[in-house]
Amino acid sequence: MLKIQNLSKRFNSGTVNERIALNDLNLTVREGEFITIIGSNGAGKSTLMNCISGVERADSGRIYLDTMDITRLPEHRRSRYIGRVFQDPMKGTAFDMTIEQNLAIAACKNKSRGFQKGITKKDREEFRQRLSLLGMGLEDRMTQKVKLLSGGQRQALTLFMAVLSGPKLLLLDEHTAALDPGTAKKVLDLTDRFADSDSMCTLMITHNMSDALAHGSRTILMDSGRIIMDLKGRDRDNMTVEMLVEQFDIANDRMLLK
Amino acid sequence: MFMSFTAVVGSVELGLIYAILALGVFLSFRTLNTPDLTVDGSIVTGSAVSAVVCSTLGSPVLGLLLSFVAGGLAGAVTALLNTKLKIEALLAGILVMLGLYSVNLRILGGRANIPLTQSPTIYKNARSVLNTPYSGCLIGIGVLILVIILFYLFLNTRLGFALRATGDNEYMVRSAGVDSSAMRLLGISLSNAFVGLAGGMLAQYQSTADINMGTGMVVIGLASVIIGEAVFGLIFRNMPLLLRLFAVAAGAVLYRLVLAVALNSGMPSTDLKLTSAVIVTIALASGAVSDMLPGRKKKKTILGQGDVSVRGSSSVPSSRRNPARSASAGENSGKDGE
Repeated sequence: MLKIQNLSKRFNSGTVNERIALNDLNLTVREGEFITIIGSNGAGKSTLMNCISGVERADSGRIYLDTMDITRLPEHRRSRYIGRVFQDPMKGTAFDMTIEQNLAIAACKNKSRGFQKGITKKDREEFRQRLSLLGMGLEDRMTQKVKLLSGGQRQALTLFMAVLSGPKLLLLDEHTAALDPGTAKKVLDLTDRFADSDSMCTLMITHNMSDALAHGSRTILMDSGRIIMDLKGRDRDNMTVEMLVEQFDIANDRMLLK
Repeated sequence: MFMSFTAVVGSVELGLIYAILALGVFLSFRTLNTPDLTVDGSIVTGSAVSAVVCSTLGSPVLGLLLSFVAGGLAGAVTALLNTKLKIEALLAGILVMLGLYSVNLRILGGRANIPLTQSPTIYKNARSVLNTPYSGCLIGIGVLILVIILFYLFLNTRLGFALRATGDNEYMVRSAGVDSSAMRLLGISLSNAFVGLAGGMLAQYQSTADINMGTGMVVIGLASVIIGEAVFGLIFRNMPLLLRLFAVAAGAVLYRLVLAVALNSGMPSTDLKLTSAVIVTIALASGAVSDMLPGRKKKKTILGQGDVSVRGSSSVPSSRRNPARSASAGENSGKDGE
């Protein structure tokens, strides 16, 4: 369970460029919930994720993951419980290392990193088996370097790595935005499969409003650092993109209506 | 024109020591993707410590161990300036290099050099035990192979994987639960520890430690890494880690041999540093130059993807230089400031 209490964050505090990114935001995500987040540019979606993952430190407020207070925990410590996929396909993998080496690094999240062998035979077998479930043929390319993969394959691999060690929380920051529509759909299908877990919460930022309604179990709309709409259950089932636009007068900057 | 046989043996002996320096530089420059200028200072630290231990305690092996430790400490200072105080890596290296000059003078007891002509060294010991003219080579090969094996084993541990990934992509490493600052501390310290070891060997080989011996050592290290990778890159299309380590080591020996030939054919020794600088410049520029050639561009568009792996590692592929930028293509420009 993820619980965010009174979270605030402003950038360039005390200057003319001051900008409130998060404004006393509250959010509780139940175990197994998959929330999609929409909102125009500058609404605070990415800042919210960065505060949760520890890239940014919030000015005030608390963040709890299960019973742990992670508000002040450094980024790499939180990462043990949090899986992340970035918008940029280059950000999620070590490009000059092989697929299996990348997987091995991700698989060690909760283990000590000492002078143990980087990859054992057993690891390799397990990676191969689990990779084959992706249906991308990556299991036959395990000793190839990641830089040889396409953007979509890389995002799929990053997603796979993010959930490999069973995180409590999965953060997806527009992870399909840099992909072509066909590949984006594939990665989204994979996302649905991975996010279908009783023990993990998932937060996904998207600019595609129909994706936001089609995936997950709850949709929130952010504006000026606050949550201005929280849709779930039947209300959400009956919601359409057109109604959303009408009801909330959504500025059509980068949000995709179809 | 032709060098005498002893001159060749001498170059190889020296090259084997520089190979350890090159492997140290490889760790910071290639593995962590950070050019570390501490090297010019830490190699002198290593050699000063080694000379002091040899001349006062008479124990060359202990001298080498302590020069390893001393070099590592110097590297740790650079890494801490970089990660804790947020001083840029290059600048942190320069600062430590400058400060080390005074530290090194103190280690040398305020003198500009310590001669080891009367003291035992591993080279003198080896000569008396092995009783061949190649004892210097054998010692060099022995230590070098040990270093390469240690490197190879270490870089294939879980810790080694995390270290390698840190040089590739810090975002990924942090999101995999690794403290990237700790990895930098470890990597830069280890790198300089091996540089210190090379300095310690150098002092014992030359039977002297000199305060000014460090000038340009970074460049020699870089040159060795680049030359080794370029030459081996011509033969092998894909270089696994172990081969790459050997390539770097071979690059250092090759570099000494090329210099020896140049000196032998009449180049004044005062031009050495300029020659080194020119060699490294050419090697570093080869990537940019080959990008400018029309033939390469054609190949890129046919394959239709940006990150075609470049044959041989001498020319750094553009994706390596700036992974974040080359990925954000077209309309999705990296961050949109939310």
